Amino acid sequence: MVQIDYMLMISRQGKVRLMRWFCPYSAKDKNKICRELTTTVLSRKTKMCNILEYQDHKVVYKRYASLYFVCGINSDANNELLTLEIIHRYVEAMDTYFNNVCELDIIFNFSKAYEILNEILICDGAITETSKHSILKTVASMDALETSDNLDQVLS
Amino acid sequence: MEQEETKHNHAVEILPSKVLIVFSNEVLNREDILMNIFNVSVDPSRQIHRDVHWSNKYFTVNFDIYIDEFDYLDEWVNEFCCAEFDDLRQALAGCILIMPCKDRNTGNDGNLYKLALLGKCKGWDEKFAIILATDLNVDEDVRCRLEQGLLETGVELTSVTGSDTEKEYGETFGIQRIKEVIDTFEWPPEMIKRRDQTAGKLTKFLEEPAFPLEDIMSQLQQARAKYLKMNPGEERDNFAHEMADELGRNLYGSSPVSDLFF
Repeated sequence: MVQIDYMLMISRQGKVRLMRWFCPYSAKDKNKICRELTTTVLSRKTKMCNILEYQDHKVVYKRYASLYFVCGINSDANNELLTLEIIHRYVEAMDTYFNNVCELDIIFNFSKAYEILNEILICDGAITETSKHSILKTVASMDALETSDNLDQVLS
Repeated sequence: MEQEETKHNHAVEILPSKVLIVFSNEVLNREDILMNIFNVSVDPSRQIHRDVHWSNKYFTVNFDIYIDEFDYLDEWVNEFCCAEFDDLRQALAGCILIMPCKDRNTGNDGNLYKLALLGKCKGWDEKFAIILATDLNVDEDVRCRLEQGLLETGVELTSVTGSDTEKEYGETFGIQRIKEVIDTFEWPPEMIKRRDQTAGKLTKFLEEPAFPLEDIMSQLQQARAKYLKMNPGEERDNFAHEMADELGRNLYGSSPVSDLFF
């Protein structure tokens, strides 16, 4: 069982490209977490452990090219390795969707990145779908609906 | 108060439309490096190159390249960070330093760490700073320490040859990384021209063939114009039905639309 408290995507330049909060945090806390984790994660050496203790919980992160995927999880109830697996599944789904995803794809299609994440994790941070095929099929259906809407606009 | 407001407005108006390239005097193949980054023939003896065209799959942008050089990095950093250059720094999108990184630069009190000053400069927020090391003559541990130390100060280090770790994980390095940094810089919307780009091509997950959406849209517009010109009657209705069927075939093949979603 994994229940993620928050997920951040941070670039190598220290910019937060995506953030999803699954627990209630105040704006001040969110800012603090983003700021501190950006510094902490970026300053870690490549071969250091991908799990670290932060405040009263654990942080699991993984770097893919120029992006760091950072997840905050509750220390007791969650499995760190499963969290790493969720991150990997998310990256794989985006990689297939964007056909070799890069930071630029996420910047210019951030809503798609959120939609894919929504298919993997539900609003309380628990995993809802593990099948990459199912995730992408749903996203493709949403794309088709969007295209259909565009055509309706032309006809109207 | 009024003066302050004028100052503020002045600061807001300056677009980050320039990229500063700073060469160490030890770098000789400047023309090649500039050619590889910007894909244009740039004369390195000229200090300003205007309207260099930059494009990627999402947007195109034109910016100016400023070229500078230094003998001693610490002197250059001190000069660059002084108040005299406030306006210049504000007009920059970022700074690319091209230099060999040898032992004398990379120790704990080495010259490279002087670049930390950049992060403290007025008007340097949201800019990028990256070092392209033409020769990184240090062992892996020192390199890691150096990279992390610089990253903490907002400066990235990449080398032309790449580290073992970068190669192991298939990460971009050197010129490619610099291109990536320029691509991902937050260019002001008024400077960029967006290119039409469909994000994902996931038709295979819908088990349907891909279709050229642009063609269909253009056909639709033509059909609508033709329909409006026709006299009301059976012929016009038939035409509309034919168009609807054709559109359905183009978009969804022979499957009923409802099959796509269930």
